[in-house]
Amino acid sequence: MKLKTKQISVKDFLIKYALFILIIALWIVYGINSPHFFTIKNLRSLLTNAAPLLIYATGMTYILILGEIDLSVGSVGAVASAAWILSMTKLDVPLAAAFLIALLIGAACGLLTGFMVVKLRINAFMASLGMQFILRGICYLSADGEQILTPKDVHTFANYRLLTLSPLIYISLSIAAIMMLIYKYTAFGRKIQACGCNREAAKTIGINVDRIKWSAFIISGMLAGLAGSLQCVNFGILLPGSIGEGSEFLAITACVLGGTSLMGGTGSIIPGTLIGVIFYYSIENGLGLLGANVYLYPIVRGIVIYLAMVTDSLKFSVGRRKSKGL
Amino acid sequence: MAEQITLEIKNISKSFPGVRALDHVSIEARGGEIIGLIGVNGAGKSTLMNILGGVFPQTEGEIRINGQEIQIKSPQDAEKYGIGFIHQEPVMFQYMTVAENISVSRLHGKVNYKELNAAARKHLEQMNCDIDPRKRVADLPIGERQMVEIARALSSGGKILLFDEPTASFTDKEKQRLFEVIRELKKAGSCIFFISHFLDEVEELTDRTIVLRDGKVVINGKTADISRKDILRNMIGGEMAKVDNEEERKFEKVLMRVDNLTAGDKPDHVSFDLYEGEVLGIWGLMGAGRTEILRALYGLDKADEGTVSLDLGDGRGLQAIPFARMSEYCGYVTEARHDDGCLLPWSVWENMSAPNLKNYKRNRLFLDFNRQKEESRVYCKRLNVKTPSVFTKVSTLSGGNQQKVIMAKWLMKKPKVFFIDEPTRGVDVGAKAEIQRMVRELAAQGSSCLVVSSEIEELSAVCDRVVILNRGRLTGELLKKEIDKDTLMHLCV
Repeated sequence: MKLKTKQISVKDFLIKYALFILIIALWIVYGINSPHFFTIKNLRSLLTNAAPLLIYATGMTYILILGEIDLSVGSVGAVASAAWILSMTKLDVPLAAAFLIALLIGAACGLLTGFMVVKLRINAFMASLGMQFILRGICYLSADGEQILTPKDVHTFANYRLLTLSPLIYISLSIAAIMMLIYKYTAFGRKIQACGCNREAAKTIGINVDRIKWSAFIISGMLAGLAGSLQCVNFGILLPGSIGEGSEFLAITACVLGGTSLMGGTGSIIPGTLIGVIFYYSIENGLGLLGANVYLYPIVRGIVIYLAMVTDSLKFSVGRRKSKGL
Repeated sequence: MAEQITLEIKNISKSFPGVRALDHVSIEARGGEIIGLIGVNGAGKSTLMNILGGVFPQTEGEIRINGQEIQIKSPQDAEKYGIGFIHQEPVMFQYMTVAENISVSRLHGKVNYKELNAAARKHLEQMNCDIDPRKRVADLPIGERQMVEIARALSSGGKILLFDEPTASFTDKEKQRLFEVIRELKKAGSCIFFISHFLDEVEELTDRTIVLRDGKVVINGKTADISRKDILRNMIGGEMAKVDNEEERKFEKVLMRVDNLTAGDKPDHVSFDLYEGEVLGIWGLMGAGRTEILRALYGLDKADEGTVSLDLGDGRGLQAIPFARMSEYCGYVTEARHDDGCLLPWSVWENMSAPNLKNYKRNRLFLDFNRQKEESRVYCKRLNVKTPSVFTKVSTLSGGNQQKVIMAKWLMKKPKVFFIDEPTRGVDVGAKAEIQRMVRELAAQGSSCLVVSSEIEELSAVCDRVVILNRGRLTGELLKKEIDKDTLMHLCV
């Protein structure tokens, strides 16, 4: 009997910490093969590059825990960053105020997606997919299909260093931390998890499921707006077709890698999603250092997605076996 | 003891379309009392509990707590009035901790886990439970989950607690544990309703027994004063309809042999033989594991142990068949017609030929639609399916006709054995008789049927033999002439 529990716990342990084990293995492989991998400079740039995705994925974690999905975040990021840049170049709005505009636009997009999901009862997959196309179109239109150079302020912001680190790192990490605290230590966060665990039960005990869901979409939209703007900072240029392109799927992948269930009900931002994001960027970063063919990247991306799904289904099947054994 | 709570239910009725589920029921209950509520399926127990729990409102009558009339419009209302509903399957947020489960609905602002855990511990201790409030519910055994649900009801100030068949999936030890907790709650002045199918549980635990039949209270008195015989007689009511004088049929050839079938905790080592041309009934109360036997046999649920053998008629006698391949030889008319019985948006002919497509091939690639439609028409006529045409969508047909379409689709496949689960639930009287006659005809033509039904009349009308199931185990066997209500009830409780 004792032996049996031990065996199961080893397996559980492996599944639970699969990503940590993988990430360490990956670092070791990269560290051996490239002298540049474990340099401060490289790790700094890795984190800076990862910052926007971390913010996208943080919002996505809320949505996934609720058992929903939001495919619009990439386009929301694009529209919000366009608004950010254009309000600075065309209307001479100062950088910080323009940031606020980006956040508001993002929140408005989330509000709209949430409205379709909660009020019109459109399936979240389709509602957010529609938003993805529409917003991408709006982004192209607002920029006239052109690439727009970012104003000087943005470059100053991008090159600003606090304790040698880019502000993007601080912003993304503190947002992840704040969102994790909200999730764990506020009634709102607890109700998000309750709704994701068992929507009907949540309704019966008097939780306003619709309001919780709607709020989560607004938050996700707002964070997407911020993430898109930060992507723009990284690029140094507004690319209406590239900002946030595919980010929704990368965000979902990072969340699932980090242990958030696509079925809803369980997940975490720190360590979960954070590790998922770092894992993904470690792979890309290392491939770059090793001088891998750039056409290899999408293939690796695909493999990472499978990896995420395998861990998800392994966890799910272990959980099911457990509940059946009761 | 603080103030005594009293609950008065006065003349409550509830009608659903076509059914009067509750008919002027009046019950009075006080704190410190355990009331056992029993009745056969459909007697109105659940309806009554659902009204008190705020799942749906009554059509007539009033409910008073401490003399004050109240309206229970939602589960939240019920909670407000101190009514806690403990479900058969605990309703839980499995990835959250015990403490979170207990108080999540009342949270606002910042969450203080220390307070949360302390509050949870207080209520769990009130029941003498030492469950760690920081544990995830997913990691608790089912018995402890029930405790958490009771703690939730208590923490929202529950003084009237409704237990809906709480022991259905319990081990004996868990059951005793629950009974202790319920007695503890009674001492603390709670008013407790305990619904159960098991008479021994009601006798052991309750102070008062209320028997419902057809939506009416037929017995209401001290448990100690009521004999089991009285309860049984009143649960069923009336005398049994005369069984038609069909002669006892003789069976020689075993068509299907089930040996030691075990899947989880039910069925539990079930063995029986099914003869060629025989209709074998499986009788048991809800939760006895009737449907589970069929599902395991048909390969839908994984069997942990046991074998099934069939005589395929190729002269080789009984051969062991893997459960996964049973669907090739058997037809399964399921209990939940709307869920898994038929494809509602499809037409009659599509439904009827669906299980048997490989017999309707025009050539290697294409199906012969004309033959499918032709044969469907033939069977519609044979089974007297009332449908405008075979192109009609099944969703637009009445329950009885849907059931006939389902029967037809298996008839067209000509299986060796039919599994039939509650064939006449929710169909009208006329269709009921026809469906029962159809089962008899099948048997007369040499097919074997395994019929699950909760209606004793139905079993005595269609079955040659009935086996009795109690909590997953076979506890008896009756031949056609021996089938009668008292015997059945005695064997299954």
